[in-house]
Amino acid sequence: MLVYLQMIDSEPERSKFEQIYQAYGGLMLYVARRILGSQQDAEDAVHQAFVSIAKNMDKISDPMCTKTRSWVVTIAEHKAIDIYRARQRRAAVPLDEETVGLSFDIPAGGLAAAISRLPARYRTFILLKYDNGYTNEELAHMLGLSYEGVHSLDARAKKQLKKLLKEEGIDV
Amino acid sequence: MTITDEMLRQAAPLVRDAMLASLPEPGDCEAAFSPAFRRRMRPLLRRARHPVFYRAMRQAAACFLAALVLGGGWLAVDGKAQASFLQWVRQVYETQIVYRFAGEAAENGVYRPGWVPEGYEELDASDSTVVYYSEMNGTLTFTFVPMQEGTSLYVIDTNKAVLKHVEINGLPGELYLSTDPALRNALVWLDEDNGMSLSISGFLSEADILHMAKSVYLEEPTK
Repeated sequence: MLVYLQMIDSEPERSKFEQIYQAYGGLMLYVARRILGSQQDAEDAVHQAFVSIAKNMDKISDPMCTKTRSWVVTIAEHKAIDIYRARQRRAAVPLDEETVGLSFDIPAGGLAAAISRLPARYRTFILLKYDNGYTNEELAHMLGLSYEGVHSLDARAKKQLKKLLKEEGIDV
Repeated sequence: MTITDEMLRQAAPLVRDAMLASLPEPGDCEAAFSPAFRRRMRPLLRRARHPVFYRAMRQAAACFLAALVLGGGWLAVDGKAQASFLQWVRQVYETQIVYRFAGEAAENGVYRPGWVPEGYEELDASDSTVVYYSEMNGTLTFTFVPMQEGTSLYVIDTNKAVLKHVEINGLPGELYLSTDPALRNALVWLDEDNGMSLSISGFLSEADILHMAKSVYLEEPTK
């Protein structure tokens, strides 16, 4: 019988989610726009990323730490790639999924460099699982995949890593 | 050699740092979002601020929205009620009453009931809501919300409740006793000195709901 319609809009203590929105919203938009080009598609990706972030706020202890910054960038990149893939399915000329996503170099070589050269879907998965420490079940929920889909992603990422390391002459 | 999880755990932070180093600093990125995007974000931001409230009220809100759609439109603003609740406007619709604050925001504090009926255990608490749970009677919700310009707070379905004016430790309150066994009783009262609106909603008897309300105390003034 008693229902709140709308809560106050200026709580004295800003929530962790709001801190993330204020601190990293612009960076997430930058990442999504770099992948998708269009402002509207990029905003769709950032919104989907924030929906996913909101569902996983209980796992964040410090919104301002480097791991959280990496996490929100990775989620935004992953959602942007999802939209890119959906757009690709509608495109007359197929686009190259291998090269979509952020690119950066790790000159020293080795495993870290190989991870950085993985297709972005694999790299984001590796970061979320092995740097942020999410379980496969949590990742399935976060990335909108089935449990089997996450296992498959894990296996494919490792297989691709082995291939890249072999190309470098590192036996794995 | 195989790629072990430990190897990946050691390498991943290097990748993370290199990725972040390749990007501009967050402060250098303009959050040039469109008005449409900002509108889409509002519900998320509100929910993130009040997660306990949203969990506890989701079901009730769904019932209310259905009632509002079916119930009809605006009729009048009750001036007498507005006076009795100072800056709280009590808007009377065909089958609902909505309390809305129309003044300046006041200071906050943390309120807690000193007594809850036997059998209830605290389920969750946030900065404005405490939810108790009993296996027999389900959830019992205590809320305290600072007055804020333009805030719409309480909605009462007057078709299914009997109103009683009550006094809680010298403060004016309104007790809504449900005539539908599926709906909770509700009490709304106002601590004007501390700028706070308080409420209790649950399957409690009139005596218990009043007893619980009278036990509420200001635990921790924040300003």
